[in-house]
Amino acid sequence: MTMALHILDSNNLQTFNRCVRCAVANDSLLLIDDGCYLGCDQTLPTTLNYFKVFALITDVQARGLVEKINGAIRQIDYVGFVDLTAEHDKIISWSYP
Amino acid sequence: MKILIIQTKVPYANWRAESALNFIMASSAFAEQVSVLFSDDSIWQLVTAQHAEQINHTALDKSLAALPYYEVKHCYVEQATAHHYGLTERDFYLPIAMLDHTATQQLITEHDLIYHF
Repeated sequence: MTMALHILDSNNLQTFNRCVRCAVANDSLLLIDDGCYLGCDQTLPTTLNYFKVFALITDVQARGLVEKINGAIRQIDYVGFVDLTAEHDKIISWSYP
Repeated sequence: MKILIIQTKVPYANWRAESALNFIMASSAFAEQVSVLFSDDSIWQLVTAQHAEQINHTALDKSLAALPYYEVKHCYVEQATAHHYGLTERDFYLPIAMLDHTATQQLITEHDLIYHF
């Protein structure tokens, strides 16, 4: 089974919903840049449970979200980012706009 | 003259938040009172423990924290937005007042000039 890595770089909800609609179970979602704010959205946990969710720790720290982001989200560094891209068959960048 | 600046943007996506800050500081020099409403996602400008140097960005939080020294002493956030993100007063480095929908409308009527960033 092929697995996709979805990379989300904004907190735009329309983009997030588009990403969720296109994703299937076992896909991974990586939050980078302003996408990290989505990890703090109290209305999204159920949707986030659908994926394996990661967030880039540099971007999380920069925005002051270390203590605020959903605990189920794994915070990874750039090495982990590279690993994720290698582990998945395809990578989809949901850039905004 | 009372000025209200309505912020709407997250701190590091683009230069909007920084432009707004420059405008706030400049207007504080001549206005009788300058107030700032951190609306929607701009609430993230106020959270503690930001480390903008990690992404090679100017630390916006350090400048915003100086607003009281510019006589900008009225900062507001919308209760609904704070609740949406699970944020409370303790998560902010500036003293802020939480506003419900009616209070936000009231705030706008009380000011003479409104700028939206």
